[in-house]
Amino acid sequence: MRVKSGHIISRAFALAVLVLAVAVPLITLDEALADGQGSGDTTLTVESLVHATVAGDTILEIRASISPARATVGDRLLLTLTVARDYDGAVAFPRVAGEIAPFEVLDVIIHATDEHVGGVIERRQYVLAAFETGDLRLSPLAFHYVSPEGDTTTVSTDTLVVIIENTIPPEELEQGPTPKDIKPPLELKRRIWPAIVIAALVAAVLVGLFYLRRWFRSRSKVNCESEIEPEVRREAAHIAALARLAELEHEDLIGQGELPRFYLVLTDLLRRYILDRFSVDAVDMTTMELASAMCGADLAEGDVEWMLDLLTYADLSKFARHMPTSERAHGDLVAVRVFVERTRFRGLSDLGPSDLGSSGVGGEE
Amino acid sequence: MYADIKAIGERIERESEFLVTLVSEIDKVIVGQSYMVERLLIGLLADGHVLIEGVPGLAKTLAVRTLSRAIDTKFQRIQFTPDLLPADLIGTMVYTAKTGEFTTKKGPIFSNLILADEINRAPAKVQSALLEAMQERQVTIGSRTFPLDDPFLVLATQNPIEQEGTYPLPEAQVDRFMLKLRVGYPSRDEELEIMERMSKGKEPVASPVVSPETILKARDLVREIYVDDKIKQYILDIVFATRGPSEHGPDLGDLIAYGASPRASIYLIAAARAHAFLERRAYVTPEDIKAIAMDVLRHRVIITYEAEAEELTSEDIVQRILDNIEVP
Repeated sequence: MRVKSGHIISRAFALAVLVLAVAVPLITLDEALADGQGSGDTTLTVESLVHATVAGDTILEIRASISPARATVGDRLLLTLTVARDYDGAVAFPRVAGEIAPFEVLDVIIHATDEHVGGVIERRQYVLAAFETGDLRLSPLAFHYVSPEGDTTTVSTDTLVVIIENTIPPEELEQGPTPKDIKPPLELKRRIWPAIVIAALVAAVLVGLFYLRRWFRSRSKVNCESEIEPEVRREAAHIAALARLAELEHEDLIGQGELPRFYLVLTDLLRRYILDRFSVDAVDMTTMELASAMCGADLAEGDVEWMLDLLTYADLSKFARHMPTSERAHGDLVAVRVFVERTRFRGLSDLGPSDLGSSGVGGEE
Repeated sequence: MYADIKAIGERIERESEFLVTLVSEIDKVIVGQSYMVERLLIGLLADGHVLIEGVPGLAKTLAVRTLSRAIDTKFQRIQFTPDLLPADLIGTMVYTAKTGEFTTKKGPIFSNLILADEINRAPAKVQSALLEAMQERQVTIGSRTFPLDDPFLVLATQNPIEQEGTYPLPEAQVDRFMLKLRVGYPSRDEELEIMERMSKGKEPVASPVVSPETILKARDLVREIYVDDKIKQYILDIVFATRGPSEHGPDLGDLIAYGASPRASIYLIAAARAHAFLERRAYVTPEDIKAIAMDVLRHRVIITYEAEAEELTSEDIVQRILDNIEVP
């Protein structure tokens, strides 16, 4: 390609304008750096500027800079790559991500192409971080210029050096262990005797309370039982039973035809008499339970069978809506009275059935 | 009115004859354990599930299996294990590649008599699946609900020892069992007979002697058994005494944490009717109530820590209540 001399002058002028444009302070990423800056000197910037003439008369200017030039581990660094060229051709930026160890790329900002008189400026910024200390080197980055005719020329930047310092001051590092080391557990003085004594006292108090409670309970039971004087109750049992029998007879439930109620009262009367006279809890027993319990009682032969027969017949009336006959009711009333009369002193003395005369009830019939 | 009861009594006399055959058939296999066999029959007649608790080797499983064989009905024994899943019990949907459709595969619960062996060995989700089926008498697989067969009776066993690795049934779920039986050791004479029978070599097997229809018919008759108001009041006295002993019954102090639920009243009356049926009676007496009250209530009365400290069990508490409530 042939280039006229006038044209070369105009191009040189345009490049001068471009150089001025690049020299203007770059757009910084204050936001990106604001929270990542460490204790390093943020004012220093390490920079590489390369001028090259490619594809005959095309002038290319490549600027690479890292700011700040000194930082601590983990601080954010801003790598700015700027290419100034004329309108012709194209420049391929180098691959940065993964290629610039020991630096790591955290973010990339690609700026829009800035057109000026006589050429264009392309700019990319990378937010970096380094986690190693020392003088870290950013290897030369290769830019590829492709001319309108398709010829490719490679232009590289210079090596950039950034100082990354440890967060711990050097003097502390020299001293050895850091303040963050784990302290060994504190040794407690073992004094178990006071604990044993306290535990023994607590146990003694608890045991004492337990036995005190049991004693109170047993005492209250004894008191309840002592309120009832068996002798008095036994003596009164037949009197109360005979009184209720007289009352029942007086009510004349048989005559009124209220036979179920008659048997209800009669069996209740008999059960309570047995409770009072023989100390058998007949009130809380079923017919069969009562018959079984009375087997061991001091009764004449046949009394238990008679009682079982009477209570079973009464159960029919109470639980099966059976209507008893008046004759049977009269007979049972008399039989209960005879039973009460005959057993009025049973359990209180050694008197046998013969001592009280015959009654027509149970085995003595 | 008594004539009606008498008529029911006559029907009971006729229709309870199968009990003699059934019991004698069971006796061919089971020696002793009359308490357990009688309670199983009560569960069968009152349509209530039974939980049997006892140490190993007391013929719990054998009794249930024998009963099911003697009744000539569908029987399933499900061994509850820690890895059992609800689908193993109730069934699941199975994909048929030939037709490209899902079909229902019913589980072993679709039977008349279910023996849930060692129910406390399966995790809670399986127990819940079983107990839900027991309560609802139906099972839902996928989007379809299937009613369970009638009669449907679950007889579950559990072992009171070796509690490691078991999942004790929660109180709310135990409540669904009508009866909880405590099976004890046989007497000396019974054990001698067991030894003699088992040493003959051939294990005796029960034959089917009763049909499920007979059981269903007997159940209908059991429901007709007369319960007088005095008996109902007696039941209420007992149940309320478990809830507030100081107000309704003997003063048991603070020994009961939770009393029996209304389900207890329902089961008490049902089981008492079945007991009267076994006694060939057409009416319920306090004898029936006292006979079955312990089995109905022992798992429904929750005792307090104070009671435990006094080394009392729920059975002791129930017995105290029964001993101190006035019988009508």
